[in-house]
Amino acid sequence: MRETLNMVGITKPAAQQELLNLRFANNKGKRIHNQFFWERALIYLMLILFSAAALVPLLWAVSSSLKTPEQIFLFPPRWIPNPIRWENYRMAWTMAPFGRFLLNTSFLTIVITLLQLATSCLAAYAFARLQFPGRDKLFLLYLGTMMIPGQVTIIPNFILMKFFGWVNSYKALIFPAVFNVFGTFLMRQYFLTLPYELEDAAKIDGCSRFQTFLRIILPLAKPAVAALTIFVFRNEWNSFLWPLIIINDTKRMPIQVGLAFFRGELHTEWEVLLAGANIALIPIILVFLACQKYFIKGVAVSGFGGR
Amino acid sequence: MKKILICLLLVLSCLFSLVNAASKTKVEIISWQTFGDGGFLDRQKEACEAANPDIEISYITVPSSEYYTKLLTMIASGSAPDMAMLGMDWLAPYAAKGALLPLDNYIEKGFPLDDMYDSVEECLKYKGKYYALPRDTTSNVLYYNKKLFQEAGLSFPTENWTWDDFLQAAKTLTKTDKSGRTIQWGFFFDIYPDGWYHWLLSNGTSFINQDFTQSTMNTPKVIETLQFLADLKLKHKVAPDAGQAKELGGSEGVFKSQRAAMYIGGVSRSYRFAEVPELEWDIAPIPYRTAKVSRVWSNLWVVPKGTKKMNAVWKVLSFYSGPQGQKIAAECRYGIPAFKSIAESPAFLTPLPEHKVYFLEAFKNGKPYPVFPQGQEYRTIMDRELDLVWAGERSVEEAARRIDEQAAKLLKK
Amino acid sequence: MIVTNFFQGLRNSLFGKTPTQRRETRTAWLFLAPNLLGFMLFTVFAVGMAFWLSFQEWDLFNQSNPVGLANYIRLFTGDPDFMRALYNTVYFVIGVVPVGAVLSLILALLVNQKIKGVSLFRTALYVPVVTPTIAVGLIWVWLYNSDFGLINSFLSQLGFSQTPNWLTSSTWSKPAIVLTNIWQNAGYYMVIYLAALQNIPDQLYEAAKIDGATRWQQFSRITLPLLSPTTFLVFVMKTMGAFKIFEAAYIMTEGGPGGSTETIVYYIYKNGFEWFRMGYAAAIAWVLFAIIFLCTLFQFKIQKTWVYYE
Repeated sequence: MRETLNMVGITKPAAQQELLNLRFANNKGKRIHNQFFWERALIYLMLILFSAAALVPLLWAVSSSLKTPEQIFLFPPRWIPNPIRWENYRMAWTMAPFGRFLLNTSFLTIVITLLQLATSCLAAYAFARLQFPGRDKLFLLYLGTMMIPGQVTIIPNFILMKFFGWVNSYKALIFPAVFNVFGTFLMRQYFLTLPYELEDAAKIDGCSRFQTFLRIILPLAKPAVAALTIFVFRNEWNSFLWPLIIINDTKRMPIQVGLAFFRGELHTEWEVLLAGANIALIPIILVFLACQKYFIKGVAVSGFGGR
Repeated sequence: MKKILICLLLVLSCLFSLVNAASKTKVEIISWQTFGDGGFLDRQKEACEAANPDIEISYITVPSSEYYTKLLTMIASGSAPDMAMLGMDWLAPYAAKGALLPLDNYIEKGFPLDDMYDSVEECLKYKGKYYALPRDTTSNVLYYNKKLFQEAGLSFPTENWTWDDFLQAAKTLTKTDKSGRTIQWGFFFDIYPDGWYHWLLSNGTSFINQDFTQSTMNTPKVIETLQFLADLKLKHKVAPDAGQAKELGGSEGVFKSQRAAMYIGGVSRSYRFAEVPELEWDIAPIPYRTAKVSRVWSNLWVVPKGTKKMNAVWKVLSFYSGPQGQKIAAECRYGIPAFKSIAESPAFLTPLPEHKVYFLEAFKNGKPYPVFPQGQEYRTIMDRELDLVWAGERSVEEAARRIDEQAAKLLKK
Repeated sequence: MIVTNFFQGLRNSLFGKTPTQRRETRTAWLFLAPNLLGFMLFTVFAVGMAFWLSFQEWDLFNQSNPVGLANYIRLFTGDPDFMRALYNTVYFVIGVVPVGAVLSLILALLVNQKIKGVSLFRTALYVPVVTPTIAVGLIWVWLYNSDFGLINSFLSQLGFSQTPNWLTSSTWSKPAIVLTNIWQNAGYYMVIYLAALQNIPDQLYEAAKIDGATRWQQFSRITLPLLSPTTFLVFVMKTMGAFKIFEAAYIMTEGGPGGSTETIVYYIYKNGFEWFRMGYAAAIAWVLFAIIFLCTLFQFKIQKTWVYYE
């Protein structure tokens, strides 16, 4: 099958896999016609029930956040707020500096994602495609630390930050997050699957190692890069414990910590607190809906350690 | 030529203004209160900067839920602001760790301690040394919703209200809907220790002995008091139980939205309540059982260890805590001024509520909240055990016994 | 002569024998440098320091004090709070892992059907995964409310007269957090299962059908065994994740009521950054690591008995 694809000029492994998946998908499609009607109905019913369970909490939060205080304590609960009260969002926005929080989180997420991708890919390339003494031992050391939970290093890292005078700074949020073992591991595994002939060809053309890496290997590794991007992006948007410890004032606070800090202030009224929670929630859901393909595919690519 | 000269002048004047700006000493102040809304922090800053043109003040806010751990982290990591707001219960834990700068040398140079209430002055010291100056002080009183009392046909609370009078009123003020859900509560209280400590005082007791060596939860009067409070929630159902309280949100909101008819708290609450025009409220002394005693609380200003601008900081500190600063806070309804001359003047007594004088009376008969170095750990134990009492899962006696047991280890240290 | 030899030997073993090898080694280290520096500092050095710290007593303000094994001894003999945190954490692991895994498998089987609109369902089921725990934690507090919460009003409409006080009763607080955790993570493991399901060749099912196997037999004899490596992976990952539950407890219950939802990570946080017992917190972190490590090791050991490898 792969040979056929190579012959027709589809050489990228990712693309090949894509097509192979499609083939299987079509095969499976045929089976369905034999299924009974009620069986499919049952599947739909279950899917609808489970999807409802997944979405109802979020939809209910949106609905509640648009209610007036009188409506919020109505019994039995009513789903559609009437009148709709956007005021709650404005109130949340003034009670806590959400604009600043969102700005901080966006900035941090982008910077950390980019830097982590860069350091991971570079190191992974060395581990996967270059020969040097001690390589495997060093990689084993990398792997070994993957087992150690972040909670072990959180205290020494705090003390390191104190030593550098970085407590309560963006530096403290960025640097420890940039050097990620998992990212290196993931990219290395992917680089290993790429054919060596490509590099040899590039070498003959007189490309340096770095050029080869940049122009040939990296473009081929797009699926893995996409997976890692999504992975880091989600982790950073949702990161909590480290910023909770290291950031003291609201100017540099990312959104999740900010929300946790101001929950007391927002919680004089439920609808305002929920509006605040939604402000922290909606951006990442929108990003997910926009690139859901990558999100879901990323899980399959990254597999272990994705959570 | 002229142009060049003008340019040069411009550049020079720019430089000059830069130098001028740089010569201002920046003093950073941390508090759990917000600023920028024209409140007392903004007004104090304005007045202080006007009085000291060489000083520039900036604020940072850390919300109260995380305030004390964050501030301590900042001090430990050497990134603390120059001046900090502190509740009195944290003075001893902080000072015992060596996180605060002693102020004796500066106070000696001149600060009007004579005019200060004795109970406030006591709050400033740890082991005989001054570590703080007062922000303001407060006593607890009973806030009540006049409209809801009138609707229920009740007369307003008086100075001689006992626990029983209170309970009767609370029962009348509690309303349920058709399905049995409570839509209006007679009373609301916070379940952290300072949310109910005054009840112990009004029964002539406390949770810890005089020299802070022994927890006294498992004594008849404390148990009687806690049982009374637990019954409000669980037996008489005039105050929300733990689950319902979580539902209602913060105490301020519950009284403000008129879902609770009575609430016990300090002066700063009136600042929030005054924001709601449709709310008709007044205050009365807290109901008593055996003693007409209220709880006294002071909020403080302290200097974290490690500031390098002590001269400027002292100017700000003595301004904020001094007569001028206290007067501003009083005008903004923030606490009782720490100085007798201001507290007993119109500056404090004029803004609403009508019977504001009760704050002062309660204050004079008040006792301070107990403060000791292990106070916060003791509180953790207390919260953990009493959580289960408020949830109806543990008897008061059992919880009290367990608190005393765990506290014995803690207080021995 | 000997000296040159020595240096040559050192060079050969560190950088390679030929100039080409040496050039490649140099390139490799350049590629590695940015990552390696950070890794050495924030991981390797930090781990070493954590180890050293766990034998110290240090409150960040005063000098640190070596205390030998005292931190560890106190953990296991004189600290009921730690024991409770350990118990709670194990409860969460046991509550979250099997139920969550089975649910994710069911979801994967459902969304693996080639029926119209299935990708829509996949998206819907995956949405909770991307949500930040802090924000959804607050939302779930609202859902769990005793009188006006959606969950209890649903239960009372089903006819339950007595509904639980989810987050304020020590009996229900743990199940509440387990439920939220499962809700949030089900979609993630669903996708992992889905990827594995799609790798099972169709021919196997065809062959089974020819042999007259029922649907259930196909599932139990083909699907389950072929999925077992994935199930193993899911169990390992879920266990590791459940041992680190912190945020949900922090935001939903603050560890209460009565300490019933305080987890080990929460206890590390409290010791380290509320009470400033750095050494003690480091010791707890090491114990947590040891527990996770042993659990994973155990899972690897017993996998031979039930995981099917082709």
